[in-house]
Amino acid sequence: MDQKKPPSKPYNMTQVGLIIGIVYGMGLLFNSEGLKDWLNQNAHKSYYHRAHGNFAGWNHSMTNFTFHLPRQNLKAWFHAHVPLQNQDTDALGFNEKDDPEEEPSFGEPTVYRPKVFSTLHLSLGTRDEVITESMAESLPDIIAQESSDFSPANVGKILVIGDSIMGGIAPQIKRALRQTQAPAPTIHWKTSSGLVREDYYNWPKVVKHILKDDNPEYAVVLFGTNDPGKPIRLKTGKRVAYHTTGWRHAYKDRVRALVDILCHKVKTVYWLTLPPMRRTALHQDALFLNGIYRDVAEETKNCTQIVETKPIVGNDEGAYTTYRTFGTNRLKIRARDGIHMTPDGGKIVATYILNLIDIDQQFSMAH
Amino acid sequence: MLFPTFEFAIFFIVVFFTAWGLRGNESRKWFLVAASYGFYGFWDYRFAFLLLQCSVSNFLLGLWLSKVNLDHHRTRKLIVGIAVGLNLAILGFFKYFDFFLASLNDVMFRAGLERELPILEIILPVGISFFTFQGISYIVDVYRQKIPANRKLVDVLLYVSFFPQLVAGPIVRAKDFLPQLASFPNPENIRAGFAFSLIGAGLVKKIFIAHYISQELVQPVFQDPLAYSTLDVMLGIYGYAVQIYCDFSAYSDMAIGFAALLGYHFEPNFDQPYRSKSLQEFWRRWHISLSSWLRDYLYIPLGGNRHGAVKTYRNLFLTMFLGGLWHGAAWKFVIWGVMHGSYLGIEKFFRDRFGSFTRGTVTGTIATVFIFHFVCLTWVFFASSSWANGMDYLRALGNLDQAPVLVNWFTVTLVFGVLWSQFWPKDWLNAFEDRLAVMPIPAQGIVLGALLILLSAIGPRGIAPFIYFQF
Repeated sequence: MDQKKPPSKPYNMTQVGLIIGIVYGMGLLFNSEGLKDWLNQNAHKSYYHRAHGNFAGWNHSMTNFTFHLPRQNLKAWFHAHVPLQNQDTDALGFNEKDDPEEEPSFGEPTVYRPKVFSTLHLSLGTRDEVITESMAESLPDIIAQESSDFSPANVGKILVIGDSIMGGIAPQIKRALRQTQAPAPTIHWKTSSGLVREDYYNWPKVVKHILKDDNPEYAVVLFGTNDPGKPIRLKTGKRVAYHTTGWRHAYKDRVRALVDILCHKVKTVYWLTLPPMRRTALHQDALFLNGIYRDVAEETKNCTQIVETKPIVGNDEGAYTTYRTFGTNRLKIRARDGIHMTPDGGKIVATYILNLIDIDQQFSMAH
Repeated sequence: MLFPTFEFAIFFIVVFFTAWGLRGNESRKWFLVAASYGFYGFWDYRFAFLLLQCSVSNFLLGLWLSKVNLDHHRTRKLIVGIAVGLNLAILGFFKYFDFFLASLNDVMFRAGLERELPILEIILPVGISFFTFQGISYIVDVYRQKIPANRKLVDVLLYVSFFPQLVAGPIVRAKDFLPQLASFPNPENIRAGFAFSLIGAGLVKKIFIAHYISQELVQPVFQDPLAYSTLDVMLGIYGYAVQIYCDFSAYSDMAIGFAALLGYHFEPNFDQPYRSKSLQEFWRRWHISLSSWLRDYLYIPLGGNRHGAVKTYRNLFLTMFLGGLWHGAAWKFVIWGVMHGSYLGIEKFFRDRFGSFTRGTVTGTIATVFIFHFVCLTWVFFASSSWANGMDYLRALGNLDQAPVLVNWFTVTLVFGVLWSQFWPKDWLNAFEDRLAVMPIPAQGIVLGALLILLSAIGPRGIAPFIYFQF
């Protein structure tokens, strides 16, 4: 593959054309779903739009006339025998046909209702007041120290899921908990994933798969970085364009579906809003999606807490900032792309979340 | 548009049959220019104008250079200076302006000035480092009279924009490529066996090896190194060395392969780099088109080794420092370049004083192991998100009390399998090509098709961008 000597045999156009034809033919025959996916992904684009009907027929034909079995068997064999940490969602053992509407078999949901309480150190008042006061005190101190003094005695197991922004927060949650008696969190984040492109990464499937064997008490969730701008393909096959009412409804349904899956197993879902973004367009997208997350959290408030990231990593006006001062520490909290977190930024959000869980747990126990 | 995607498969089949189906060489070249701009515009059509500007300005300045009498040294130097300056200005603005502002912000922030300078949010045009370097290569080669100034705009347009190498190299030299455009390639002499072998090898390296090493080992361990054991962290370093080699050499292999299918020849870009017994040898085997570019257009103009030992060390250092900066506007690349530049100087010092002591089997093996580990050490900073992350990584090497979680037969086989392949005979792929070539043509198609099916079955959904796209 590196150093090459001159070729031993020249080919002519017909020979090369025949080889390419066979390779492409085999690709279509045995892997038409790849082409189908591609056509589906691109059907929303204006220059494909008018041909969408033809694609649907073509896709149907391909599904009926191709041999998926050898490829699927190979894939199943590979995923069964290779110790992968991140399984392809195709190979998780969930059959798309019998999956979506089925009632999850996790038993009765455990509903967590935070109560306003006023005893012991929680005598400050409402939960929100405790949180505000606690964060004002603890964040600068915790950030000031290299090792966190966060010591939740009773924090249960946490499931952390999300996209690449969560990729900057999750390790800090793990690191903070490592210094405590709390159980190690289950962490699962994937770059470029979201709730729109289920064909790329099917989060509901993944979460169900995780919850089959895992029993977290809390879920910390952040999505949305990769969702703006992409159309949603409904189960009917229809596509809805971004920023339309249909898109908003469809996206909300997906958020709700994920929350429902989580709420059948965990006490509380902490849904982090997207943080302020440096680029104006991205920031507007984040505001739009955050509105949807808040709506779902409101609808499922028995189980879901919305966690506003704006006060944690925004500036005093809640706008984007690369740097923030905590106590005497000035920190760079956002990466150069103006989207992701630096390790310090991740640490701040992680600290905030863990304190929030700790406070909620104390309220719950006191109750 | 990435190589291992359906978009590219459709794009290439159209380009292949049309390019060979056209009658005249000129129309073929114009068609390939249009296809290349379409390929580039697939990322962002606005940057196609940048590509056009880079090509046209180098073409015009090359023509101007050719019209100036050879005795007019100052004028010739002025023209080449303008051309190089223009290329570097484009590169500097798009690649380094925000880096400069961000660094200035950091300095101001540390000085207690909390006001943030507005970042321009410049989007880095994909492949800009590659096509601006090719532009410089053209104009400097004309200046040095290695090639005549090209009088056909289409040739320069195609040289700068030719899609197989446009976004991630190899950096093709004008003197190697432009002569190939003089005539229509022979349709009876397509190096298809060579091309298919390289494309196949590239797909395996990218879709299977680089992807799984990244997903199962490198990404988690570099994200939070302190959470992993010494063994995980060690394998993670080796894993990144293998991942970046497979990822980058895969792109080069496929680029060379696709160019060959269209009748053009590119020089190899990698030559089993991890078998090197010295860092100097490593740079003769790794990203050969960049290292030779830096040698010819930076190290030698700086004076090379012609002005005494001290200046040679300085030139080596500067070359690698700037080579590091070429990879990206970030301090981690600067640190990486400084480490390579410093070590090259130290190595030269000892080689000049004591001669080479790597000829024996034992000393040679020790040297190979040592150089590999030095390169791995530099990769730690290259791959880390920051200096602090890199230092965490080195600290994590002491996590002896933790149990390994990422070390398993799969990750170990992938990493050490690729490292083992560095010591295979150089022509092992030629052997595959030869075996393929003796088969009947339909059988060749079936073998390659089966490889594609296998990769689509055991490979991931979706293809991650190549690491070198960011450079």
